[in-house]
Amino acid sequence: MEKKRSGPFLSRLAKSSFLRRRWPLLVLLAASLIMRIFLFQSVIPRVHTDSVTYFELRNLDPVRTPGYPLFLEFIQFFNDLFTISPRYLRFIIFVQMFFLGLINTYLVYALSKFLTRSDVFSLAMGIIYNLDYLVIGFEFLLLTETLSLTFLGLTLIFYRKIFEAIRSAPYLAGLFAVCLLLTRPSFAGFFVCLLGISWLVHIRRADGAGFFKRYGPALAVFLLFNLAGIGGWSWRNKVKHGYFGISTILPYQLGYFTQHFYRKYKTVGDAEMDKYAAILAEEKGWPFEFRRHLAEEMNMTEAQISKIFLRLNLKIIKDNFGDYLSLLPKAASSYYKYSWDWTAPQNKRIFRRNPIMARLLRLFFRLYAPIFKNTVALLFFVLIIPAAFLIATRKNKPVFHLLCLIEGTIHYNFLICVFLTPGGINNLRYRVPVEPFILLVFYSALFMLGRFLFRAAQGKRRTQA
Amino acid sequence: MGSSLAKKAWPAGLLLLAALIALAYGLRKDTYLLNKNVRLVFLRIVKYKEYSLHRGLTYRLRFNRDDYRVTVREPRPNPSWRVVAVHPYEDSVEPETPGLILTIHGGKLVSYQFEDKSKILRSSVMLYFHSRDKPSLRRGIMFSESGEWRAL
Repeated sequence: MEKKRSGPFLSRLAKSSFLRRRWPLLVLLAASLIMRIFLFQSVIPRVHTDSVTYFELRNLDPVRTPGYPLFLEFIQFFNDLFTISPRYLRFIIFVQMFFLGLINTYLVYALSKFLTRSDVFSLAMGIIYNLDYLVIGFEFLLLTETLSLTFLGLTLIFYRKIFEAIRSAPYLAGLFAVCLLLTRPSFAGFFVCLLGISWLVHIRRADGAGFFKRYGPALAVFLLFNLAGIGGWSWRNKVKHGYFGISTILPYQLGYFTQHFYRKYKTVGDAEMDKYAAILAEEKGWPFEFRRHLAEEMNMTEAQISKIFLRLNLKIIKDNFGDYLSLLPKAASSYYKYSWDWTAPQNKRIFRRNPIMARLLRLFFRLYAPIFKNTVALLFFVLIIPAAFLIATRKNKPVFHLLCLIEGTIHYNFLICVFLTPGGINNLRYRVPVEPFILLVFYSALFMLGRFLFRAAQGKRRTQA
Repeated sequence: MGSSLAKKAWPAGLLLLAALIALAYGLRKDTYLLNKNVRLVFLRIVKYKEYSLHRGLTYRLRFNRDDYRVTVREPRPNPSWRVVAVHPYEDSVEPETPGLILTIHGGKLVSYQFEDKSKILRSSVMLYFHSRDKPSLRRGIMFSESGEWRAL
């Protein structure tokens, strides 16, 4: 009896158009879920010095933006309300892995599918994403990288939909772009990059003159959302801390540059600036020691410290521009390093407990690490092959546009991170939100080339026959 | 048809979810506030543990009836304890036994003692919190000799 009843159900399930259409995505999500179940059991939450600055939304340091603390607050609200787990840090990691991790997998799948129109490639790309331990490893850390990747992916997906005339797209794209810049202030200028790329891509069309008429209102909504997000949080900082800006982090980031040549400060007769330069020298150029000195011994507010430190850093950089430039290659190479340093305390335990998975992850490490180490290979990986892919897709406007947006994202992040943070402070971490996109473009290019060659060979065989 | 139904279902679903959360909050407000207080205490201890490791300083947390004070030992010029933060408990939550003092140094809990030294301490100590409105409701954090702590 049971068998008779389950038969039609299974056959109905097999015939289901939903399953037939979505099987690669369902397989991918199931695989990602199983992988995370195994990994989660071996993870012991560890906090980084930066992590603790995100714990309290109410007493947020002005260096920080509210995106990640709000996310933590949201998770903890449910935990407190339903008494889910007293292991607070582990619970946050659980949500990062099983909620954000799966959303990110889906986003990589969706973008791959849009670029290549292939279910199988998108499935493979999703699996490749899950095997990139540099990115996945950040799901175990209480840092902003995983959430930034989610918001970045969502912004790109919905921003692209603006050009498909979907009514809700500008609102959602704007909302996620604001969430992104409030999670990671380095993306504060990202909307300019997106709008600029779209304008360049569409203005060349025959009906280029109609760009503003066609997309103007939707892009205005997107722009307004971004301006409101930046303006709103900046205004809050002005009221609360006397500083107009989304974060006071910039002077400290620049401080990591001037730490290398602060001794070359040239006195200019500005007694106040000279005094602060002497304090910086006393603190051996350490940005956060300088901050502590001014806050504790001179009772200065964060806004005052930040303004002074920014002026001081800009002056030191301006006077020693050659020294600044000489640090950029190291910053770039540090940004494009491939290492598992950030998850080092976890790796041994995770790999010991999951030997099969460890073998797969190490396989990918052995594949990527040499590419990122070799400058020529890296140039092919991040510039030459993507450029060739862009040229090849130039006639397919929607794909070309999305590809330009993804490439714009990758290089925007690179430029911001390299010009504003030197090497030596492990700025590899700043690459994490765009790492899946770097791989996505590279593998998509290879896939499209392979498909083109295969089809060409098939066509040739047919004509010969 | 399906698409227009989905368009209506999304906002309706979100509204329903918000209503359910509001209802749960109304029903479990005391539990929520107690959990929130214990969580904040726990995470602040984690924060000072990290600071003590990174800055090489010693922090002390003293749990009073109405608030808990964080002090740091100033290494220069004259060593002294300076107050860095005072956190009042939110709403009607208080510790069951006030007077516990925790000392954190080098990223570890190095000592826990009660102000009243006559209280005997074992290899671990529980710091329970309860709601004044609902004294039967309580949550605690256990500190152990190994220098670790966890919420229960």
